[in-house]
Amino acid sequence: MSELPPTDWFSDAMRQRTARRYRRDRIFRGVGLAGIVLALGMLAVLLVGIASSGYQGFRQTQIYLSVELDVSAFPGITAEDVANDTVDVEKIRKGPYGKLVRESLMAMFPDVSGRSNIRELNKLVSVGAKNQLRQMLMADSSLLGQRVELWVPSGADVDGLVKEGLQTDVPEADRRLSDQQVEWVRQLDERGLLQTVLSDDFISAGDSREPELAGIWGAVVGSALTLLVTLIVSMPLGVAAAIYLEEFAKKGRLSDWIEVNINNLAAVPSIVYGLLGLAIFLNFFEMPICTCGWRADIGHDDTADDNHCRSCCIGCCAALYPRCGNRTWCLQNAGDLPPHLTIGDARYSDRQYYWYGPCTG
Amino acid sequence: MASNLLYLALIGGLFFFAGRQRAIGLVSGDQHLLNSLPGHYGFYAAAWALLPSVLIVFLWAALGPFWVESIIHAEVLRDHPGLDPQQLALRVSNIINCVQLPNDEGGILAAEIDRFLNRQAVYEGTVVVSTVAVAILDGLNGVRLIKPDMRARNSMDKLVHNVLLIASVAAILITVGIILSLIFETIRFFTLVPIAEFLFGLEWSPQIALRADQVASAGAFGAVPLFAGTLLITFIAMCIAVPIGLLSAIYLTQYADERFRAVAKPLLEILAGIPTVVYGFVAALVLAPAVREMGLTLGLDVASESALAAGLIMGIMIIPFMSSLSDDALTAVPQAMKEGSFALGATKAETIARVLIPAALPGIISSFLLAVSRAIGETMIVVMAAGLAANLTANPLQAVTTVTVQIVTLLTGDQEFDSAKTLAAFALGLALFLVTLMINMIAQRIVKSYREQYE
Repeated sequence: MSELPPTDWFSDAMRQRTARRYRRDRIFRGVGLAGIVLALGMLAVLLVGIASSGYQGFRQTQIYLSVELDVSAFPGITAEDVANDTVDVEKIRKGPYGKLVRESLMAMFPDVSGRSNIRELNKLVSVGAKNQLRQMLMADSSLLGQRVELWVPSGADVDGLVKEGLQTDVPEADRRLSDQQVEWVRQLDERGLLQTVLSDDFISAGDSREPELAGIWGAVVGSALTLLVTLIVSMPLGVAAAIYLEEFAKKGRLSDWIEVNINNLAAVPSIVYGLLGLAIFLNFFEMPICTCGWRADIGHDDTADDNHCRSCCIGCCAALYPRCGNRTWCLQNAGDLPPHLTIGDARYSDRQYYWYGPCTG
Repeated sequence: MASNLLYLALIGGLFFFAGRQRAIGLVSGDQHLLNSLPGHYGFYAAAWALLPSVLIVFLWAALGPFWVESIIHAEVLRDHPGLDPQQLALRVSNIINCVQLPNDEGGILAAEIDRFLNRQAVYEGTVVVSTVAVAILDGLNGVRLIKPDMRARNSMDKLVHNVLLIASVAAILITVGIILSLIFETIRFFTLVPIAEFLFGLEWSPQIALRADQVASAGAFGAVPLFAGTLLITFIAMCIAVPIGLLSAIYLTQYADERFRAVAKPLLEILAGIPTVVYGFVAALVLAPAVREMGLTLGLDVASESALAAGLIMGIMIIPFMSSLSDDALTAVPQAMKEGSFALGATKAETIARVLIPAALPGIISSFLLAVSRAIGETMIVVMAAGLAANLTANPLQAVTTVTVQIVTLLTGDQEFDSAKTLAAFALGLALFLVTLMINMIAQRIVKSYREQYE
């Protein structure tokens, strides 16, 4: 073997080589930094994207109404009843609230006439407006005969228009609000009869067919229940398995096998657990896909139907796959409605009545 | 059930004292003559009393409601023979709902509700009496078995050991349960649709006609477009996740100082903590329109549910997964190898490229595989952002559908459960399970052999 000559570290070629190597190092470092900056940038885009398109959901547009609660409009109630505080609550419940709301709107726009125009005008406010009025009156019957002032939720279309700054560049035929309605909304805004506030409904209400009245409380309760059952089942089981594997098990085929299985279960797609749950309900418990019970209870605080959630949660213990309260099935199968309730029924469309749909595993 | 468990807890407590007292009594107070501590004998007796009875309580709690409901079912059917199954189910659930929360249906169903309550009372009484009886008889038997030289402590040890063993064997049982349930339904599916058509068919349109005279009365169940769509979206996702995830792992472990790492790593981990439905929301409402807009300005025709948008978002979701697993692989490389490379005069970049990455390659490959398996099984993002129509295409600008999306669409909505349409979901699920299982097994094996090499 021949001796290599000693390297001259200070020759030009060597200096250039060193410089090149260090430059490469800097570039590599820069690329690495770019990678992480890109990842964090995506996080920022994601969060900004969610926040910017989501925050409007917390806000609700409301319209100011001034309603004359004329006692004569309420059949069966007299001024003496009000004075003596002996008003029948049932009669208040049945009051003509839709008409009262409509008349109040017409008073705000006195030059609107004609059936179809008035109907258009009426669509500015949510169908929840008459409920709000009803509840107000049922809580305090002494308001009868007086003029009450209240802010009611606007219809979902008006809500969307207001949140876009009362501007729309969609041709009239392609949008849900007519030019006339847009003009009314602008007038309301000019007169200060519109406000957009933090929505109580969004937090406290359950689901609803009316977008402006829909809320997340039912979903929150459902999630919490699911979480609870999942914790109750998986915590003791998981901790016990860990203690066994770490402290008791001898290293051997069984413990290896258990460990492989646990690792696999962690990586199985959750939808497969959903199928497992479904198969168990179908074959083992012989549950029909829709145990479509119905229930018409006042108030929206118990959207978590025990029966459905119980059957959902058994599946959820293996994995989180909640599908409680999907109402579409029931809407499609109007034939199964109880006889006194039909689709479009005033009571049905009322937000206080809930349909409990199928629990598809 | 709660009150029942309370009774049992009381009985268990009583037997604890009974067992303890008996052990002390047998040796007339001289505890040195006992094999174990008196408390162990107490636990022994309590375990005798509680184990079988608590098991019965849980069995009843799980099966009882179904049993009572089936009785009500039979009785309603007997009284109203004309009801069809749906009306019957509706009536039964009406009765049960009225019991839980009285409503105006209650009047009509009063008699049936009463009967239900009676049945329920009888059933609950039976459960309480039977469990309490079992607890007392078993407990007495346990007390009878106590002898001074009995190794109560060892029995207790064994009991705890077995309970823990059962908890960990549950993992195996769940796996077996998944496989069995999927296989049975899949076999039923393959009696309706030939297996070759499913695996190699190029057309997927699972719409089965509800009436015989409808068009498209026979669905097509060729799953190739679904597999292709899944692979396309997974490929796009990995194109995003692998470079970014790997580069951030390298930067964080090799270049970043402690302060930067302390900030950047948790931020990156936030990405992993975002629920996938939120990613799906962003993909469908923010990214997909943006991608479409961009395509239009470039003169490209982009579907509004393009594979590109779904894949991009899925890639972002997988970044932290990829980066934290590669991070582990890189830090697991022995310090000596790195230092040896530095000692030879290599720069950091050279050390990383020539020493660290080759040494950590098995770990990086396994993290890649785990990321792929996650992308394949990801559901919510593609349900919201990918298409529904099965398209056999390699063009990322078109809409494709995936296995998971099809499982979801097949199972939501109303359908019968013996139709090919529903059973197809199980066949797809089995395929999904097998593929992810295989990938996970390989990844785990690589990780394991690699870890043994360096330890």
